[in-house]
Amino acid sequence: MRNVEIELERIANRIRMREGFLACLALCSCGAAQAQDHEILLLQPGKQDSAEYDAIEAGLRSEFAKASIDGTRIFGEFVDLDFRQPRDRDIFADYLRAKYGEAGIDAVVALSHDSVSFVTEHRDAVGNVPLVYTARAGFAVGAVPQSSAVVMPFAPSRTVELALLLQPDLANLFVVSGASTWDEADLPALRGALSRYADRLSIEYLTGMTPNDLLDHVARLPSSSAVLYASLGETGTPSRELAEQISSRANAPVYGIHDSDVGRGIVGGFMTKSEQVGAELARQTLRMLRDEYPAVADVPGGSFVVDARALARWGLDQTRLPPYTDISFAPASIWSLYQGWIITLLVLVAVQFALIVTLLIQSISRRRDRLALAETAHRFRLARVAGRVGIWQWDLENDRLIVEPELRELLGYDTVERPNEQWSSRIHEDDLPKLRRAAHDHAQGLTPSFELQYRILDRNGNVRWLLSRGQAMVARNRLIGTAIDITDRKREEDERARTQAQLQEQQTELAHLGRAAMAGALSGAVAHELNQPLSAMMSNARAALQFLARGPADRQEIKDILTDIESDGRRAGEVIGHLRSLLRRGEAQFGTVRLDVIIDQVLRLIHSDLVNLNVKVLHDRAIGIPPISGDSVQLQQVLLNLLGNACDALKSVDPRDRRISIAVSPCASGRVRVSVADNGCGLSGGNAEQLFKPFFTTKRSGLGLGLSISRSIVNAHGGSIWAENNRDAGATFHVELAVETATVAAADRVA
Amino acid sequence: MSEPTVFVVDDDPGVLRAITRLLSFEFVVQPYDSPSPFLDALRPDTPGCILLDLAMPGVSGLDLQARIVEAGCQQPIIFLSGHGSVRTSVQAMRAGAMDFIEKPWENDTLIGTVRRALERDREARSRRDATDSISRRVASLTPRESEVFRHVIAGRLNKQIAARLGTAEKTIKVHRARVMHKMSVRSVAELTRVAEFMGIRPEP
Repeated sequence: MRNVEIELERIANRIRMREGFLACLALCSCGAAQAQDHEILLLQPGKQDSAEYDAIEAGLRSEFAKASIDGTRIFGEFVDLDFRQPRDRDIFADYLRAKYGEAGIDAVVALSHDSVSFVTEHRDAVGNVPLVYTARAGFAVGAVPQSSAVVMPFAPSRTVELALLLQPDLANLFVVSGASTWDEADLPALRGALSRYADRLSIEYLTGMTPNDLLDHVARLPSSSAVLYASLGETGTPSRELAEQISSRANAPVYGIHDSDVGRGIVGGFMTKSEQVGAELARQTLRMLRDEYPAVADVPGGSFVVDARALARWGLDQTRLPPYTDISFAPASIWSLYQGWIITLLVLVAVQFALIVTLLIQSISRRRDRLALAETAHRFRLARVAGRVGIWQWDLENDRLIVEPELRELLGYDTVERPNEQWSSRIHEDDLPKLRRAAHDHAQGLTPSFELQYRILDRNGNVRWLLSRGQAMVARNRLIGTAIDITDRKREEDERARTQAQLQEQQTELAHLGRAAMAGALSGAVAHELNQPLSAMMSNARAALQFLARGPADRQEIKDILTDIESDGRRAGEVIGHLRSLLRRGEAQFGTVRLDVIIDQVLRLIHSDLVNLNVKVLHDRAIGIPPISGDSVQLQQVLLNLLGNACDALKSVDPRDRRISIAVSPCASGRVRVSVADNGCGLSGGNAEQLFKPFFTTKRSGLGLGLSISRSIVNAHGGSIWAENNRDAGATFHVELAVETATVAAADRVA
Repeated sequence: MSEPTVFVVDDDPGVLRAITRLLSFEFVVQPYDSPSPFLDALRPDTPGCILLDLAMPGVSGLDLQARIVEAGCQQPIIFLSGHGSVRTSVQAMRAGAMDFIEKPWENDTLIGTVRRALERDREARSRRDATDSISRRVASLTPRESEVFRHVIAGRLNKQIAARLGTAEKTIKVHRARVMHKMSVRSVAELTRVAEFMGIRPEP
């Protein structure tokens, strides 16, 4: 009695726990549910390891949820299979009646054989509501009123198919069927299902053996064997442990037919998922609640399921598996399990590798740099010695000049020897301030570089010229630079400059002489220029006198006359000034010169000569000739010379046909060309160039210097002068001169 | 008869003004600062003289002289020259220039030269007038009368002329009377002088 009480209390506890859990689940899934449409009682075997039944229950719930039956409430009860006495079942029935009787629930789902038999017996305890239960294919379903069975597929033959696929040499099949009543009931169906393989396989049924005998037996199976574990083990020995034990002990692969056995060491088999069973149960329940009374419903499908670990253990080829086989426990799971870790690790490794490579490269390049630096230093020293380049440093802050060995050698000292006084005091007193200013300007960033030529006393007290170039270092108060001995170069430059100056002087003198000679020749022309205003003045003066002599003179008339006299006097003065400037001795004075103006001045100067010779001058005035830069007097001299030569050349021509044409035209690259053409006797001899040689002359009177001087003048203007014979008659002299730079720049800007 | 005019051509306006002023006290002066308007204004029958600057741009003095002569104008030309070169002067004189005046000129020289030039123009003009009237008379002679004229001044008698020309003495006598009448002379001596003046040669 005491036992019964204890037992009852245990049951009650479990019920309470279970109910609370389910209610909780239902609440969670329904939320703020409206009317609770259905209430279902789920009866499960209590003693079983609940994995399979949990899966069925989950399937059931999710199907109900899918069917959108709001508020379907599932109550669960365990029907213990080990009720010791028939009274226990009655007590349980009373309990159910008390709890669910009187239309408390709408349907009962029973999951095990015992549950079904219990409900069949105590149908009234659950209020005679529809019953849905699981049944096994091939298992006789008793006539239970107002009930419906969900038939779970029973296809052991398909598992044998799998075994044959994986083990093509399979010869012996050992079928393990448990000792339970279910197993016993299953056995004929099993035999029937496997009978078709009788000709291919030797099939042995291991039934009615104790677990130990069974395990011993499977450990000593012949080769080319396989075990089919087909026990339900619903009663007696827990089948799950058995499956594990058999799988570990057997010396041949073990196959199964229940998905709950997968993961316990069996290779796999053709199985129905427990969730599908649950779902079908739910669907069948709903059908019954809609007053449809199908007797049975089959659980559709089933699939091949294998355990990858077991496959590996037996060395079975995965590629032999039928399509759509569900492979559990595949090794890839390592990746999926530790993906984050693996990625982190890989990244770490990569980063570390990159670091190592970088350090390695740095180290190599540093080594290379070191070598290159050494080589550069060596080369540098070679270059310094070969080029006689010295290095100096100047600490501007402390005004300290550091002279490096090569430079000391340049100045006649030993590499270690120094002068008694500071180095800076050996620099020429005129150059030292310049040096300082340049150094400070550069140090303050006013100049991009430091470069200066200066004099310094060498060891023997001789003046040497150095060319120093420097650069401010790091801080702007230190200069470092090179020094080259340019004493020889400087001496040559001086020499050259002196020679140049002498040459220039001689040339100036020559040009002056040339002009003087020309002025002599021009005296007639000058006389004409002076005669014009002088004549006018004379006549005007006489006219004024006569006006006055005639009596009271017209003041306006007298005023006009005097104004004319004054302007003519000025004109005469200008002629004299022009003549004086032509005869001026001295250096060229460059300025802006308009060639047309110069040509006009020259033509006026030789006007009378041209008239006397009856030479017609055509001055072609081009528009827009830019001014040039030059000395107007010297350029007049050149033109005078050219026109004089042209006149001379025309003396052999009929006076009525003497022509000179002057053309000014722009030519390429910022130059202007003046061409003086005549139709005279032309140039005799082939070489027009010899005309420009000094003392070359074709005239009876003449020094032969005119063109030579002209050329030196034009050259000094950066221009060129040359001569050529015309195609028809006479010769043309061309002078090309550079346009004034400002004009060129302006033209460039416009362009 | 219009007043004798002094035509002055000089491209130098100062000089042109001065000359005009000076000469205007005594003469009628027409100043021109370039040759073209001067050439347009000049007529052969205008009495006067021409003062030309020898050195002008475009048309030289010598060219202008040639154009004046071409136009049939015979007014005396005085050249004003800066410093006359011998060659130019010779050319100019050859072409009929009357005188050269060098700049700077003495005013009296200039005025005197112009005066002389106008005098010469006047003389030449009256001589040309005389020549013109004789020429007209000569032109009025018939061919036969011209023939008779040349025989008469050769000193031949009417009879001789008639024999030469194969006609009657009487006819010659009539011709001779007509020639004497047309030429407005009273004696053979006078006729001979006219012939000399006109450059008519006696019939050999």
